Amino acid sequence: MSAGRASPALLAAPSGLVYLLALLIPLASVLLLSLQGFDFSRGILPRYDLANYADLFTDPLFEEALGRTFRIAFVTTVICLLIGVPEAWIIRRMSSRWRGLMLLLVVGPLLVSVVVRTFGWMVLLGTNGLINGALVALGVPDAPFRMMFTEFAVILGLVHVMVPLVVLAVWASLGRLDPALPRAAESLGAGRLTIFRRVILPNIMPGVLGGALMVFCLSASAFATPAMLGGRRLKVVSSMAYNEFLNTLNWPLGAAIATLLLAAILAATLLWTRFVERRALRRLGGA
Amino acid sequence: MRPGSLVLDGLAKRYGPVVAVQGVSIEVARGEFLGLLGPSGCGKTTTLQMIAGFETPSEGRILLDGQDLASTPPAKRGIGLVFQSYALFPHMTAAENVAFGLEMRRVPKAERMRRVAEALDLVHLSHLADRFPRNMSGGQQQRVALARALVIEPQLLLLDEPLSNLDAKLREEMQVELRELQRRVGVTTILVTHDQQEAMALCDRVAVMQAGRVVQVDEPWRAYELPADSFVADFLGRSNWLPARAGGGEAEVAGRRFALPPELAGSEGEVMLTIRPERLRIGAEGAGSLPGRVHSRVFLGASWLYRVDTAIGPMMVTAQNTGAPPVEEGAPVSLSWDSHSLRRLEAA
Amino acid sequence: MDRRDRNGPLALLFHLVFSVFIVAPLLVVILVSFTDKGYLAMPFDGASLRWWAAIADNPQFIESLWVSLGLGLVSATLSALIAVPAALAIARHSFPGRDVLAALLVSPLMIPHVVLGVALLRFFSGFGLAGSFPGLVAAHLVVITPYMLRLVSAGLAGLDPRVERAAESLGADRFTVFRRITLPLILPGLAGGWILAFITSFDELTVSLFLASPSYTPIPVRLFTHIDQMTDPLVASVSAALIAVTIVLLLVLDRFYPIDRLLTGERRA
Repeated sequence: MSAGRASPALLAAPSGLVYLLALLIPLASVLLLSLQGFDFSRGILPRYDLANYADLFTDPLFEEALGRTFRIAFVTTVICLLIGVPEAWIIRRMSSRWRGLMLLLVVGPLLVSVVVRTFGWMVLLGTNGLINGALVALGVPDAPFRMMFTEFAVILGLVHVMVPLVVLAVWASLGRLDPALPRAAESLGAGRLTIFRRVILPNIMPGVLGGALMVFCLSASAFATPAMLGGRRLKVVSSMAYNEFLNTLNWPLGAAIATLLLAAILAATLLWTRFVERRALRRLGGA
Repeated sequence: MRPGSLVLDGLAKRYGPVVAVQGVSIEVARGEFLGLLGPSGCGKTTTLQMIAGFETPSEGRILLDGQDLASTPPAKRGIGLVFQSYALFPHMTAAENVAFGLEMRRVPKAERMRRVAEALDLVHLSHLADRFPRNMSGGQQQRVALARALVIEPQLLLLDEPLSNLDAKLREEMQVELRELQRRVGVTTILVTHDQQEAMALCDRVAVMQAGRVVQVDEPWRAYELPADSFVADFLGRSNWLPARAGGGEAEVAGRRFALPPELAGSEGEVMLTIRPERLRIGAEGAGSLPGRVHSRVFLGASWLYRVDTAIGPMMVTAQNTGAPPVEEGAPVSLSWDSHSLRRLEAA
Repeated sequence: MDRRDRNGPLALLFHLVFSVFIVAPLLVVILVSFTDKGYLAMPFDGASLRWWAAIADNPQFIESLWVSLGLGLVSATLSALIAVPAALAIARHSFPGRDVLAALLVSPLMIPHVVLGVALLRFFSGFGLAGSFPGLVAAHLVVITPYMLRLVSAGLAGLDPRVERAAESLGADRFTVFRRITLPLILPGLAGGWILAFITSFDELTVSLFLASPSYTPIPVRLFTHIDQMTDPLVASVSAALIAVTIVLLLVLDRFYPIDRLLTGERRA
């Protein structure tokens, strides 16, 4: 055995240590914190119970935010799938000269900060923004519309942030397909739409479902876009947690909200992979 | 099923300045099995894709049973296609794969099931109807692809290197099966391949292509025996080259004179003669026309392959394995041949 | 590819609308940054560079830019140092807990950043690390390492282990094999991973929001809090500058690793 041979334990140690200190222990400490009490004059109280959770479940504001969060995430996911899946297929069918360029154009914005991208929507959607300006100029009745600080604005912003992820997930699945499949189907008499629906779509289902889960989870936990386009009144779960931590300073309650958010996301992931993905993948043999 | 006749008339395909196919004209009779044979990049696959409708010819016409296909999209051509990768639909069982083309033609369910069963039976896969492609061997997938292409009762069957992904033994078995199946079904078939042995074994005629052009269309044995040029001669098998000076019905090679066959008797001046390795006889020193020395030998089971160095360069000789001890390496020998085995070719 | 395989006019129209939707907000930001007005207006009459010049008059933005650059450099480099051995352990060894380790290392992708921010603020404030540079680096490490790991792993997966064995059979010891064979072969993936990690760190808002302090405020946090109070064309010019930085990085990145492959995780064709 030569001197340089490293054991897997040694190789995994640095990353394991970082993750332990900057992920696992902090998460555990939040869980613990969520069980503690809080008093505005005395700060965090040294008691442990489920009072914070009980409070949250009876709080209509939290319920509203929870409902809104998942409603927004659901609608965002559906829209992203409806436009992202066809877009990936369309780019895939382009000639190789255009394909790379268009893919870059569509997914490149992923690499620009969410703050910048969402700010762009603020400019577009504002009462004096470009869209309303155009509508007024066109003489649309009732224009300008109030678009900022609505769920519509939040969903629009989230779709913009998330849809490249769907394109990428589907793109990877498309890359694993035998490029002769569409031609095989066409030689048997299938038209464009039939080829997509009967041959391509079933085979890229893993990418579609994986992309859907990712978009749903990221939308449900998004902070910047709802905060910037939804404003202070349109609270989602993330912004409530943020508020408790950095404004109200009720850390235990904020920790409970964060814990619930994490739990909800994990539960959604588990249910999805268990029941939806597994069923869909069975036919493809875990492809 | 009514097999169709196919006419390729002056077919050409250019990609910008690159010429992929040029002036390809072939007529394929009803029920004929034609091989499009050539090295990679010779334009044979492009030709096939044009027939299938996936490439648009830059020039020329494609007539199926006298009807110009130019404005018919691939989906409406009714041509059966077997891909090199088989392109089976991974999410469908063998039976569902075969049924797809019938569904597209809105064949009623009962008839569809009957015809799928027949097609699977034809390729001996009835017992695997409900298997998914990923659970089948390469040979089985190949048969599903065949059944899928045949079940739509195509006027024309196109096979794109269908056997190249199979191992050698299976490939030989499938060759026999494919030939027999094609005879039984009677469908006009075009096979694209770079494997000359495969084309010769399967096809009624082969069209040898080089650099986008068809060099020769002939029955396999005629193309082998009477190659149109040195490219065909080389591509279809090994050849030995004898630079000679002809005159008076004779030829002179390396200072020795020998008779030319009657059809070459009129040759005059410098000519290039060729002869297949199996037409050369290896004999004791001094007995034949061309002296040489055995450089090396390879045992092939049914035969021996010798490389004999002569005054005009190395010559390849195959000799049947008669059970007698082979000629030793380094032994001085003499090569002889019958004059009718000689061919004259223009060097390419 | 022939015209038969191409998209129909409806598909191209769809693609056009889609592309406009994707590019519009970025384009608008860049346009607005050239306004000569004192407020956000679109369209505007006269173009000027006054809001680009204004960046220089706002030292906090410059300071934040340096913080973000330093944070990206340090955390991307550290991430490479921990991700390469981890990827090697996962790709080249089988050991109990390997799958758990692999899942743990990519798990931050699935954890809401608000939760991460809350957790790190809670834990780090106990050690005075909240609001410190090391605290931000640790947080960013967890956020960016999954990306780094994915690219390095893809590089390793595309590397035939027999090549390493061949080197060993020729007398190289394990470390030499790594230095002379493995590392050069995964270098494109590593370089791509480094830049992707850097960009991710450079763009990170939510976790940093919890851990930032007046002395260490990364640029996205600075921008976010500024927008929270007022939206003036200064935001647009800073945003446009960030877009420019990203484009430059993308162009550099493309030399190491084709961007579509980087983003899609596809292996060599």
